[in-house]
Amino acid sequence: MKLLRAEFQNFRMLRDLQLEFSIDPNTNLTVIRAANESGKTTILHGLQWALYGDAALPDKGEGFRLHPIDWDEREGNRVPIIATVEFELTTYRRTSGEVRETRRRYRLVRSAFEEVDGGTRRFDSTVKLFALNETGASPIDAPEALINDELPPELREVFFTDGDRALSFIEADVALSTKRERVQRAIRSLLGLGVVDGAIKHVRKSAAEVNKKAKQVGGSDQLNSIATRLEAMENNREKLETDLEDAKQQFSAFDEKVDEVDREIAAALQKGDKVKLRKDLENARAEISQLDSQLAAANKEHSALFRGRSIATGLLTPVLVGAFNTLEELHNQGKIPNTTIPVLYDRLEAKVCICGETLVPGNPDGDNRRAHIQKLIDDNQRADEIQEIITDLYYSTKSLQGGRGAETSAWQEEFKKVVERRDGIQTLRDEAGRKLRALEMQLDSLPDTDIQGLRETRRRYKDLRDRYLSKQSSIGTQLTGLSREREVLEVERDRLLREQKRGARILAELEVTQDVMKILKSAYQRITNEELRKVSELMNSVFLEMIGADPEQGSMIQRAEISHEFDIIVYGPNDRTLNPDRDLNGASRRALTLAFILALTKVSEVEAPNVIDTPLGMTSGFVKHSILRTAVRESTQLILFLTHDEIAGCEEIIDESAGLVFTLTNPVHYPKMLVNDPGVSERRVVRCECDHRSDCQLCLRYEDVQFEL
Amino acid sequence: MPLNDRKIVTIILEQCDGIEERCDGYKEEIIEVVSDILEFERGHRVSATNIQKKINEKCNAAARFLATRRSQSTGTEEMNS
Repeated sequence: MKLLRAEFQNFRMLRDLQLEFSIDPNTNLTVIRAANESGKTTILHGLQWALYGDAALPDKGEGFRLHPIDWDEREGNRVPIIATVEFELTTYRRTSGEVRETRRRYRLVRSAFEEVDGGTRRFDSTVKLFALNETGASPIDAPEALINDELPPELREVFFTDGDRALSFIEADVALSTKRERVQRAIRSLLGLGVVDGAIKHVRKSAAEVNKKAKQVGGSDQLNSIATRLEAMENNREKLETDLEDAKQQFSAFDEKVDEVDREIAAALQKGDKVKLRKDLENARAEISQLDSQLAAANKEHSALFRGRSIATGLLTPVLVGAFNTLEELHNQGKIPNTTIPVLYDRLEAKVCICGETLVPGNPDGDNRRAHIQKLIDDNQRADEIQEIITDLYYSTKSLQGGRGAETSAWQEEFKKVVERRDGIQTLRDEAGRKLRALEMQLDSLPDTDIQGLRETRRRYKDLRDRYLSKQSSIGTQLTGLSREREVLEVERDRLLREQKRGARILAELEVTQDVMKILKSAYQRITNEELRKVSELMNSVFLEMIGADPEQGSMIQRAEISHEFDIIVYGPNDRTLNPDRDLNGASRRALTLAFILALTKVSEVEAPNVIDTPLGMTSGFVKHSILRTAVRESTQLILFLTHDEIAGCEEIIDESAGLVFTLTNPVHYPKMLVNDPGVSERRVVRCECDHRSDCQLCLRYEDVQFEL
Repeated sequence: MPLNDRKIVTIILEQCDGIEERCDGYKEEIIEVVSDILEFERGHRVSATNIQKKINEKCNAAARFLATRRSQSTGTEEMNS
């Protein structure tokens, strides 16, 4: 298919716009120059809407307005929206041993109405297709089928690419199986595997029909029995293949779900894991409780220090020293302890004084002395109570006097330790309190995402995914066994048919279906293996050329390939795998996607347009030139929407390759960006014939004036 | 045929080389059968047809051709012997 022209009416800001596209094989490039907000992406949407309907619009058209946003209701509440696309199809048919090429032109018109009173309501679009010929246009029935056959919806992103989002084959936001499926679907579709696959299925049914006929030949019970078994096996194979397909789909579906939940978990975890936070909160509370106990114990210990003897000794030492000295003095003087009275009584009893004089009663000297001693005893008895207290004091404080200094320093040491320990615990307690508060606040601010629940869901999906993977392999084994068994039985059946007179014709039918099947299967294998390898190799060379990477010179990117599992893989030095999302810059990612799209289109030899919006964004210098040059070379029809900045520096390539260049302008850019007043009040895209090197009154922009200056 | 008619036709024709020439003109007959089947498939995609019946008939016709040629060849051989 080649796009010839397009026309839009009331499609967003394309109120009335016609576009033509170059189909000259030598100048296959059409450049539509347009600044930002000048209708580039709208045209991309418009072309896809014309071909595929609402399904091709963002969010499948849900809430996507089609009519101009500044539609004047005085013009009516019912806005007609029309998109027309004219294209050329080339078909090849093999007739009389020759492949013949036929070119036909068609016009596709899609129209819809939107009611704009208050809200917007869109009625289902209608599509009409006309075959164009010299005499006019003849309508064609079921246009969708023809479009779906020529430009299958699964290839929409191959033919219509938004440069800024051209990453669907490598983006990280989708599951690996989804990316694989997209790549596989694009390859299968563009290389025509679906058609060959369909043919294989139909021919297999034909073979099964012929096998049924073999049962009716008669004459051999064995033949009948083998044909019956083959019939049963065919039914079994069909069932197994349906189951296999179902298992594959289920696997992909659950793989996608696992990936989805992974993303949800990652997003929630980025904000915080509520379950983990709750656990942390619990731990913080337990830690606080433990610290509080330790603190209480330390406080007790602290207060116990003040009740102990050592603090008293320590504090009272300066006061007590005098008392101790006095007591010591009294002791030294023999005043304490009091031992006088017993000695005096003893002397009175013995009637002899300590000095040896007589104390005999009746003897005047003795009586005098005895009276004196009695007086001493009486005096002593009066002082005895005080003396007793002092004596007790002297002996009871003896222990205090002994270690006066040591006791004080021990208390101070202990005090220091207790205080340090208590202060340490208090610091930990304060920290734990702050931590607890922070956790509480973090927890309060978290949305109510049940991460534990999500993990459980993930585990369930993963189990189901793995189950379907294992089912696939089990069915695969059964099919292989069945196929071997069938081959053996088929040989035997054919041998028996040869023995029957009526069997020759059926045998011929079987041989034909087997030969056709063999051709189709080997074609399928060839396309799957060889053509995939070709796409992979071409993608690699186009990609390396676009980004100017030279593996010989030790470039960071060494090569890119499409694996047998349909993964697009990029390799760095030492065959290290690079993640396109993380390890490649924006320009390289864009180049990789474009390289895949171009390689696929080229290898399939499909004549199809590559319509790309802002393909050179995020690129500059060599890479920019290289992407443009390579895209022009590898595409059969290249339609590029380029901003002035993207064009800058690429003028010579456009000079050489473009068959058509024109400019689109949005009048609302006056007076800020446009130099001259276009004289259009409404938001609409207007076209002028200015190419990449020229400007006119309508499209002249301030940046162009500055650039020229 | 789908969008890449030319490519598929080329590949299919290459695969036909490996087919046994069961009788004179058989290979050419099979190429026609396969080409027509792909044509049917393409038509079936654009507009639903009774494709199974068409393919059965096509295979049947090729088998008739093969059986006829074989019987002719056997007859000739018998006459020669």
